[in-house]
Amino acid sequence: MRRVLPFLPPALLVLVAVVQLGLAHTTPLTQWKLGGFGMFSTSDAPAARAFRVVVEGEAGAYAVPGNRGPARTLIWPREAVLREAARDAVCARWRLVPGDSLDGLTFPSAGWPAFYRATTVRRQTDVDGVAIRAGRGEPGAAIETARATVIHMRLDARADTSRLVPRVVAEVEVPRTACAFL
Amino acid sequence: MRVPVRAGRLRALWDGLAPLTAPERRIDVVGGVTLVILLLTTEATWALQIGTQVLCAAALVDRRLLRSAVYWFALLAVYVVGVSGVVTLIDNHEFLLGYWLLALGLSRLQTDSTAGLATSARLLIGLSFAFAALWKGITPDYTGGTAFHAYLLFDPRFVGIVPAFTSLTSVEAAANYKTYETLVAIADGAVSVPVADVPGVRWIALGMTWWTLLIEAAVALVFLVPARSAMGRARHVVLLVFLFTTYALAPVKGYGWLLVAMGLAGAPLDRHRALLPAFALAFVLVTARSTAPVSRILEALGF
Repeated sequence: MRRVLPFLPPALLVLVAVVQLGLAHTTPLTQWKLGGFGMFSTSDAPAARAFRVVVEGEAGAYAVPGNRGPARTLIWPREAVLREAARDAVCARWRLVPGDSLDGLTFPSAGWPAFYRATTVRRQTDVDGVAIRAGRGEPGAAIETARATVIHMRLDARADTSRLVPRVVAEVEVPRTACAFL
Repeated sequence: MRVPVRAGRLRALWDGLAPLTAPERRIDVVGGVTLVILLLTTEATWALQIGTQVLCAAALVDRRLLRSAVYWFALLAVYVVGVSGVVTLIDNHEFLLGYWLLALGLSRLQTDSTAGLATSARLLIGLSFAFAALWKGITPDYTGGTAFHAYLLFDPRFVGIVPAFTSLTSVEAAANYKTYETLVAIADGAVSVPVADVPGVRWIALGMTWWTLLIEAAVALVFLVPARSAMGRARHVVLLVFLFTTYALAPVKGYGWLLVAMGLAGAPLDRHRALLPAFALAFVLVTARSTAPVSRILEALGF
């Protein structure tokens, strides 16, 4: 019996690593984490991932500000976690406020924010979330869906120009009809 | 006149270290390095911090504890409780540290503890490198060179390499970091932006990609073939090559120290006198590369 003792820790390593291999191939788990030794094997690291929630309705689509998400969400964005985040957003009442959600961010060059605003300003209007129950027809009912998304900022290296390109890792959309008060 | 004095000092240093190469002292060396790792690199959960500090202090008071299975299982229990709430957050070397604590405890239950621990260490190193090489080999993002290309442009751990060896300037490299941080902060799935890049970065990335895969596969191979085979006997040299080439560039002390501890557990220190100083040097290199002032100096020099 004592002869097998040195082999128990390596056996445990193999068990955990095989499970991690399976999970990373069948779920959005980053291959950097959870004991599979996939660190530095992909640029899709937790630090290269970003999380955000967008509410959408008649007036357009608005990113919920200040919602970077916990590290666990970035490492393993399971559907249940994203669904809960989207549901929280779609069931809240939203109020447009003046300002720009890009305020407070520092840009690498003067031309960069102009480029960014030119392409996305409609979607980046700042909103203020207030968690008040709202029924159909009340303020806030114009919101129809919320999407919780985890993206990976991927390098697209080309001979002429390299770009940072977002890739959706996991996304869940929840309609307002899913709110319990409706 | 100076040479004999220096030689004398080296001999005195060796005379001080030599007793540590004896198999019966192996647990003092390996156990000591493991306690340093536990104290300095694990997650900052209160259970782990208090538990490891108390148990490490106890081993300082009474070194015989390192020879007790109960002691290592107590450390393992503290470790498991400490990381249980953050298991998705911890790094792979922290998983490996858990297996290593289990191996240390189990080795004290065996008739030949040193040989048992050496077997566990050999397989843990071999298997962890096998999975690391497997992940890299099956990931197109890695084999195409994109992963290292992205680390070189956007990962602060590799800062300094690109401006030192390519025509990309420090200002452009800094702008890339800022662009990356900003895009991650905005988290907009519809926005893509150009970044500063030159062909030299891709060549360095490809070199690092294939060297890393090659050396990791080599470590896996030499640690998993029979220990007494010719290839198996070269495993300590291959591991040292990995340590010196990898941790000169990457400041990852947790993994580096753990590999030193496990490498020491299986190395024939009594037969090859150069191995103990070589592993000690690797430990110093890993520590220095991860220490902020040294890192800043190396980065200023372009490493």
